[in-house]
Amino acid sequence: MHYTYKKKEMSKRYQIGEFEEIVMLTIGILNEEAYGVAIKNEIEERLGRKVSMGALHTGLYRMEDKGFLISHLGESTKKRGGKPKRFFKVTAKGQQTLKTVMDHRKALWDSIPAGVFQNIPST
Amino acid sequence: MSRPPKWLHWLLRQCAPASRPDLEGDFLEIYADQVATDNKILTQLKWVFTCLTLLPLKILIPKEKQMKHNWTQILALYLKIGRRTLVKNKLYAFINLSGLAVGLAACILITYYVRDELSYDKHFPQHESLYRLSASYDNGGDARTDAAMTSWMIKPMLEDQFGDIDLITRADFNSNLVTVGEQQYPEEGVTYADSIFFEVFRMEFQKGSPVALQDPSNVILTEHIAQKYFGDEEPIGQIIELNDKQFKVAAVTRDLPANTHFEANIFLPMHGVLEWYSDWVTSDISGYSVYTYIKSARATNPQLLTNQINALIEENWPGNHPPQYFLQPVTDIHLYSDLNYEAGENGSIHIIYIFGASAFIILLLACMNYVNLSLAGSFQRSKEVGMKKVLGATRRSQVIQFQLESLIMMVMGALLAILLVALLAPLFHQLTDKTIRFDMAQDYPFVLILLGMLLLTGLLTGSFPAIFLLRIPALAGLRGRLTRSQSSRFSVRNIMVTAQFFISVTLIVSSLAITNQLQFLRNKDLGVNPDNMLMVSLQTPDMSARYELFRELLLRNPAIEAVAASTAKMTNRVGSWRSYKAAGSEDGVNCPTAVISHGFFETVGAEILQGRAFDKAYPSDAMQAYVLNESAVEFFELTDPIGSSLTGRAFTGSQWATKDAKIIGVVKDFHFASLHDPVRPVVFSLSSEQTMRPFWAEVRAAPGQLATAINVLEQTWNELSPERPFYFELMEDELAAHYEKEDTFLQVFSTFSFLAIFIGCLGLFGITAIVMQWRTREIGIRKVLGARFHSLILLLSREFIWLIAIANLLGWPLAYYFISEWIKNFAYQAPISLWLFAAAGFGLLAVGFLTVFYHTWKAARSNPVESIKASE
Repeated sequence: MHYTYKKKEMSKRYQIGEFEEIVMLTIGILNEEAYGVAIKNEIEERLGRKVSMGALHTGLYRMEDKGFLISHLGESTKKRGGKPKRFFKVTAKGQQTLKTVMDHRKALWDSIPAGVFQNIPST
Repeated sequence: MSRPPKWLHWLLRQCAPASRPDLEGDFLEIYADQVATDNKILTQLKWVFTCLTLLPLKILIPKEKQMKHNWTQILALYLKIGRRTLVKNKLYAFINLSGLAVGLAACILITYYVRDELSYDKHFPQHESLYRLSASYDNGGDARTDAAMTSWMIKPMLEDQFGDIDLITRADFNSNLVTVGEQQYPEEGVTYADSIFFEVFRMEFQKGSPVALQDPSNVILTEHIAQKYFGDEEPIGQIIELNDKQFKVAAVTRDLPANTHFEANIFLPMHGVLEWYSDWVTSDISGYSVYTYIKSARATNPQLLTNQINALIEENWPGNHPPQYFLQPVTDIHLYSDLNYEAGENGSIHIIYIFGASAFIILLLACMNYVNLSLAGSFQRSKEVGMKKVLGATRRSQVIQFQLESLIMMVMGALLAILLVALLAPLFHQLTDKTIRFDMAQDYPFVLILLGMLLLTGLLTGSFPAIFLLRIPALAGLRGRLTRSQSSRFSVRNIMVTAQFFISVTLIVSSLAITNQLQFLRNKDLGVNPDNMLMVSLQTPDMSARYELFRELLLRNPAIEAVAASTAKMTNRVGSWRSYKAAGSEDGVNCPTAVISHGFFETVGAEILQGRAFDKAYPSDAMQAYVLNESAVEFFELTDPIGSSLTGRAFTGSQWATKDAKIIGVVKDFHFASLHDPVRPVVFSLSSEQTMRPFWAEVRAAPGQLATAINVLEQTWNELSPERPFYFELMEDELAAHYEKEDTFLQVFSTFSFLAIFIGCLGLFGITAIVMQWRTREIGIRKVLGARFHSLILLLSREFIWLIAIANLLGWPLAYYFISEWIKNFAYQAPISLWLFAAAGFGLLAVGFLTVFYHTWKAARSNPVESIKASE
């Protein structure tokens, strides 16, 4: 493998957006039941924000493409016009990435001197 | 639970990538939830936008996720599979191929025929502005006579008025005897024409120029005539002789193509042969004797020209009832014109339509066979299709496969068809008198049409089995469990078999009816007896004068029963029109007149109903007697014809004189003309030395002595007129010639019917074979349980017999309609009897049953153990 290619890969490796992070975490919450509609409903319920179908599926596809998610087709129901559900799971790489992101944030939070963030009550 | 409306669903499919079916599922699920709670229209509107937000995804998920097809390999595979399928099913391949080849060959031949018919007279330069002047003549009575001929005097009259803009030529097409040195040639197409003729009908000149026709002693020959007379010698300057007059060959033209509405081989200048016409031709405008052609620069408005001509004629017409002139585009004459005295045998646009439809129907039948057999045989290939589906073949690629296979069949069929056409060309020529010039390189539009037709039919017929097979679920196909839609009475297969036999029934009934009508015409009592009748042209005025001597000499021989004569050839036309005034009426009316000799009615076998025939005992008969036929009595509205007076005109050697005469007899109506038309009223007048001499002798041979009689005739002729070749015609042949067109039509039509039935039966044969294969096990079980042989046959053929019966019921009314339309052409019509329909029905049932019988017999005879095992 070429070095340049690998380097690019490395630098991109743990870069995920905020929306992607939320989706991955939600998939974790839903566990076995993480398919399109369920993920959308879960996020809307928990975070109180609208999720567009186009954005969600684009994100899911992208993350699968990057190797953060894997999916398999499940059973089809009549309600869905005979179309199958696609269930998602977070891959090891995805989990690793989530963890890294969280660790980085945590480290950052921890490095903030006490008393700087006056507007939020400290825990 | 509610579904989005179709349009929304469609939009969704367009926006969402096809490789992610779950997306569509998600949408449907959410839609169902939302529409239950929210406003329907609002939801739908929202979904339109949501669908559009999916578009990026469609672009994101690239096609690379789908399999890429290697089309060269796939096509090669399809060809291989196609070849194997053909080889495996030799019977179907054979049935399909022969049906297609025959259908295509018929199509090609008909296309040639139609093209030739449509091309008439289009080879003349500027043919768009060529017209023939024809007229509708008032001959007294109700019906007008439409004739293609016009008066000799029309041309100078029109020329005075329009000569500067229009070219006008007269032409007269005759047959005549041409003498070249010692040799004599009877020729058709001897054309008397004005010198301007070649400006109207531009022809290519091999030698000399059209100017040659200006000299009254010149003659112009066509290439093949010049070749015939003089071989390789220089024709220019040679002398030929017609009617004892010498002409000098001054030019040679290229031959006129066969697709010209007249035949012209020898051109004589009109003003050089004028002496051959009777005097009235140049002095009496009411007669018609020549064809008048106009090349009009004002072609854009022929109606205007017609009106001008009619106005002009009306001004100058001597009598009360001027004819109505009309212009016929020369290119339309062959197909659309059916007037009296046409210059040649014309075609008919109806025949073109019928032939065109036949070509289409035959090809359709062949295609139906293909579709039917592929549908029925497709169960064999359901495994193949299922397997390919499982391995990921797309719908499109499979449709292409079947289309490719049918295209291969079409191409093979076309090659066979071309071979067939080459083989059938002589027969075609015999039937239609047309030569096929099968020149692929020159005929590229035709080849292109053929290729286009192949491509179209190939694609269409290939799609049927493909669509049928693709509808079968892959698994069912793989397991070989097919619903064969056997229970459905309206399956595609049954409909097509019925359609094929429906067409066959219509064709058979029609051809039977045509045969029946022709038989009827031939057997119709003509009122005369044409058996053993010979017609001899007296050819020269000299022989006409010696007719009595000729008759005397002939009657000395016992082989000759009777001899009579007439001025006209009786089978061509009974008489020429002359004007008469019956006792008590003011107006003169025109009536056909036949000038005949003593003993005429006796010789031809016509029956005198009242009074007497012309008799030598009454010398006054020559100038003071008429005999009428029954129709003429009716025509003149006479209640007591015998003895009543009738005033006509008679030609007394040099001029016309009034003939005051009495009616001395009434003869029963008899036919010499074609039975397309009813018997015309005819006035019979006696030919004599003072009046008109006869030009045709009618000779009745003694029964069984025809050959001897011909010998006697020839010997006697050679004694009296050695300088002229003896020439005779059989009256029966000449009468039959009236129906030549119908005969040809019948021959071609019955050939088509036969082809249709043949193709239909081929199809039925193939279908039965397949159906029997399906039912092998059923038959085995039935046999084991004790079914009898004949009950099995009945059971197995029942379905097909039903189909044919239905086809009959559908075909009969259509055929009846066709026949009743066609038969309107004839004045005398055979009744359309029921047996025609019954015969066609039973015939087809029998043929159908025999076709099916082979397979049912085989199936019913087979050993049940074998058949039950075999389909395991």
